[in-house]
Amino acid sequence: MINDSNASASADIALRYRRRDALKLGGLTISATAFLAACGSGRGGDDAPGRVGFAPPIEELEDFPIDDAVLLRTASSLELTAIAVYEAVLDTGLLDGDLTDLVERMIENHQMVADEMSELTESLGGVAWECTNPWYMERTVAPLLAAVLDSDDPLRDIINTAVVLENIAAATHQTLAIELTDAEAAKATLAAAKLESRHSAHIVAVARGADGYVNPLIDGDGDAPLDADGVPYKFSITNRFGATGQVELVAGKPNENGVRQTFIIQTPSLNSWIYNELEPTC
Amino acid sequence: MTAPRTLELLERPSSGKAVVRMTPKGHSPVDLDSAAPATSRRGLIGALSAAGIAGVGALSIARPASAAPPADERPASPTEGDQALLFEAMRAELTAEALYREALDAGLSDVAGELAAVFAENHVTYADKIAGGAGFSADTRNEELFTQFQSSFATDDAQAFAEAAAGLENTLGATHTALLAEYVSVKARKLTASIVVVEARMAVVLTDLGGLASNLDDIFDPQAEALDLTAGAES
Repeated sequence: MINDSNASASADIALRYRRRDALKLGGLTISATAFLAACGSGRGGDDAPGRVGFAPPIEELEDFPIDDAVLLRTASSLELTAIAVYEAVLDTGLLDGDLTDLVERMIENHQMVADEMSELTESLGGVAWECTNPWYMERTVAPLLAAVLDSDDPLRDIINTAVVLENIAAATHQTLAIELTDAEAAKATLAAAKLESRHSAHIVAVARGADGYVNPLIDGDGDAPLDADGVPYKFSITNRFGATGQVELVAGKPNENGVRQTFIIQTPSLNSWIYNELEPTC
Repeated sequence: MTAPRTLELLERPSSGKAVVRMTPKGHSPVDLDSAAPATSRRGLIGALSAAGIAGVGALSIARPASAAPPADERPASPTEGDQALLFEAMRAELTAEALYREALDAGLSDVAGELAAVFAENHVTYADKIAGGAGFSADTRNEELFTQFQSSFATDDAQAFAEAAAGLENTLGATHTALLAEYVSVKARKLTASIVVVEARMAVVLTDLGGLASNLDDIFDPQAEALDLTAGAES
């Protein structure tokens, strides 16, 4: 009997503690939940993909600002890249007198534009960029020149490369004319876009004459006309409006399957901007 | 030839069945560490309290994301000022189309005729695009400009046509370039930039067609004055 009474008292005490604890715990949980709920929105947690294994943590890249100076420095870098390509082309000794004169003149024009872009960069408080574009040089120019020099028809590939290079330069300036907030800089880049469009159109006119004036597919229907080797022809006028999309260039000798390399060249973007924080590479 | 891999029976229990041994392969590539469990009610209360304190701390240091680049404050669509200038640009484009039709009507043929047809189509497309972007109808040409060029376009001679047309394209290119600095909206600039680069190409083709270039300056640096369209826009 005594034992039963003691056991019952102990159970009551244990029950009281449990209730008290439950109340404490419940109260704290509710108050903490209410507090966290009041802390605002966006509590969905990290929605990045999960990390598995021992891979080192992803290093966040610096979020460098892209301002007018960056755009103009990039414009300078592309002009100087074009000059580097043309100088390499002249070194091949494959061009005749007229083409040599043309390339030398285009080098002069690109240098003039590069100088103008540098002046504009400094006028907007930036530091002029006087080197080629390292991203383009490494990723595009080096492999492209290697393919051209090893080609079964280097002169054809040199001409096509020059046309594509001018098209990309023109497209870049066309884009910058829209993106630059400084009106005078925008006007200067539009003038550069016109000049480089003229380069491109004239190269084709010299190389192909009237056959190369206008792409018969100007409205965008069908496939590009190909030459006897299966390489797409270039035209002075390809589109009704200035295009700024990527450009494909087929160059080099065919491989054992008869397929030539296709290079895809794009206007500058995050990888190839010459950010203000980038140290000169020359 | 390599020997086939055999199943390793590590030991043979009295049951006679093979046993599976969980062989450690080093540290698990999956991070299975979890937060220390609340081992007691007191621990759970402590954990909740800590969460509350952390919440207060997070609230006190939370700031809106400010690393994003500043938004482009230019208007996307043409402003009233842009519309007035674009209206004049559209009239100039319609005039160019009409002038190329004059050449075709005069009997221009062969390569020159094909170019005239394509270029007429280009210019009317530009007029339509400008009108669509700015919100008006492409139905009015610039009569003064048309009269200025009409007689030189009304020819079936390829060289004369090429000379007149190259002059027109260079003039239009210079005009659009001058207008670009006046535009406020992104759309006005975008339209202008996409038109002017093709007009430069058209000028080069026409120069080549007519054999008009005596040197590379004539091709790359043609002398052309911009039309004063702002007067029309202001009236």
